Amino acid sequence: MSSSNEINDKQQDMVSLIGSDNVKHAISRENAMLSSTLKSIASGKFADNKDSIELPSISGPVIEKVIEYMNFKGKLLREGREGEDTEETAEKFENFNIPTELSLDVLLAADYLNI
Amino acid sequence: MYRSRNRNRGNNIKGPNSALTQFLQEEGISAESIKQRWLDTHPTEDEVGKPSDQDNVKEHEEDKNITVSEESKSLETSVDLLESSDEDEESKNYKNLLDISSKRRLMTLREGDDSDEEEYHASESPSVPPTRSEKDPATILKQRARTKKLLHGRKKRRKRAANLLDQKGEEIPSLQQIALSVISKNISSWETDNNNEKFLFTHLRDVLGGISLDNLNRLANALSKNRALNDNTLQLFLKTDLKSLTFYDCSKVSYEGYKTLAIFSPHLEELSLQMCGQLNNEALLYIAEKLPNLRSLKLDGPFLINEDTWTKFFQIMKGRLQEFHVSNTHRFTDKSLNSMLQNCHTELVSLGFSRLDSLFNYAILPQYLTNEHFHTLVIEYPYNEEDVSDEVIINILGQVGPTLKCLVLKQCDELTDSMIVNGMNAFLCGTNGVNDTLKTLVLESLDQITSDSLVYFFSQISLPSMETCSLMRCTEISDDAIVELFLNCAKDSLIHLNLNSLKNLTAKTFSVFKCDKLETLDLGFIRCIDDGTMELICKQNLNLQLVDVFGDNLITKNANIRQGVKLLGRQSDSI
Repeated sequence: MSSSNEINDKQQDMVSLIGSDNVKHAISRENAMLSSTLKSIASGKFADNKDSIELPSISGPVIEKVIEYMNFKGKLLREGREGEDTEETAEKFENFNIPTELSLDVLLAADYLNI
Repeated sequence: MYRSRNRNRGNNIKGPNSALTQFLQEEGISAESIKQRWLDTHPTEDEVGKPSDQDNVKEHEEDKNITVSEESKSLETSVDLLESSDEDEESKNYKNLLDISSKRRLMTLREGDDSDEEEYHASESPSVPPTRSEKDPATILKQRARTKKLLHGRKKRRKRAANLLDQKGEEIPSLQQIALSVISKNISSWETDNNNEKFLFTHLRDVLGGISLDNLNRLANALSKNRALNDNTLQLFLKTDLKSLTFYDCSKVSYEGYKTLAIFSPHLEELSLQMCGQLNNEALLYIAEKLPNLRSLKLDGPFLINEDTWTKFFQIMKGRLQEFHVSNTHRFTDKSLNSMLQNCHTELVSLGFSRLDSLFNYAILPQYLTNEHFHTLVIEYPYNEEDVSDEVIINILGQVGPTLKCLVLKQCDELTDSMIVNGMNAFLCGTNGVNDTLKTLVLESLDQITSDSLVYFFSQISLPSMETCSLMRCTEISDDAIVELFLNCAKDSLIHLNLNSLKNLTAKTFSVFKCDKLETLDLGFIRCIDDGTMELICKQNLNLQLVDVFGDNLITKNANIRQGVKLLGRQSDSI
């Protein structure tokens, strides 16, 4: 993860994830690369448009949740690198809520994205 | 030898009493009542005399100088808070005692940072903060804040300890883990909210159908852990293409549940049902009939299944049962074993028996274990130790030894060195003394096994594939055997090693302990392990993650442990 971040740290650009609702959801590239699936899609040979990634199997609300998670995790990882207590970060995650009705879909999406 | 002073409590046998004791008893005078009376009459002085033994004299003197009563009143609320969250053993009658202890805690807090041991070693710190006799609101507020901080710190430590016991890391949980916990938390309320029985079912087909098997088994794991697996939540696993399913706690699944599972998951090949107490005859036969691909069945606690059903079950499973493990039932008898071997012996490649109280005829096994791919043998806790003798195991190893990947023998007390020398040495020798098939070797609680045979075994046969090795509670084993193990090829492949309770080991053994892949290690009750040894072990085993050190009282908080290694059961880590 960290190796990809090094490259991307300089170019703080955004990618957008497009779900089944065809709405673009923006996320910084660095955070998106936390998912190995997204990473391989974005860096693959056949990626025709590197700034947007289509995820037709995932609905909009779930993508939002996924982005919220990756932003959260990215932030915590950066804090962790600056020497903060990892235990504290783990505690903070208790405040991260997934609505029950979304949980199965989120699980499915997380499984697909490998996060 | 230690003898409990209270061992006579609860019966009517009494030792000789002195005349004084007799008199006091008759008059109804007890130490408790004397103490109470004394406390009532000496409200302030008792605080000097009463503090617990562990505090040193110096602090007692300090206590004397502090006028406790004033401060204690102002602290009363925080004290209550503290004590209610903590142990409740002290009674209200000893309020002033409570105050003293809370005051001491606060003093400790004033001294600075929030480490694990501060509460317990308050007496070690030489400096005591200046006393405060004035009740000013700012001080009270400050103290309250400190109490809060203390409580928070304690909560944190509790959580850390709980995580350690659950072997959960402190790293950031994955989104999958979070989602799984939400699902398992809500699943029962979900069921009741949506009275529509089909809801989960349809949702499942839409969504879960695409989920990886890994996650479904993880879900099963999470549900079992929360004891939430029942007929309703079982529905999550129906109508899937699952081929392998493990339920770790089926105690709430009724026989109807098993039947629906059998009907709606027809692709199952491997099924493991632990604690399946409600599995009855009908349901077992259903499973055998409706799951045409079933080849592996592991049951724990199927005590409703009777002899006849076992026989019928094995008849149905004839020709396809490859793996069969059963434990914790008294109804699996010699007759059942016979039936299993006669019907299924040609296909059988994995066999496990544990805690079967009506099974005696283990001697029948060797002649039937003929499959040339047989790989797993587990025999644990036989009811009669004589039934699993050296001869039986040697004969079994003679049949299946060369292909064996996993050998587990627990608490077979009758086994001796002869089994190792004539059985393991002779038949687990591989080709040219290199056995690269054996992955798991568990010899637990075999108290007649000595170092001599193991030295011979580990020196003659190299085991380059061995990943798990346990010699737990083979109490006769000493340094030589373990050194030989550390010199064996196995050192490069071992991932899990259990040396629990090998009390004869000395620290010098661990100087040659260098296993590159080793991740978990159990060193419980090996008394020689101290801080230095532990540091050496951490330094030499670079992949080590978890070490059990229960009962190793020479390991202190000063041990220099490499980052990434977790010690479980260290005495100084008390909460």
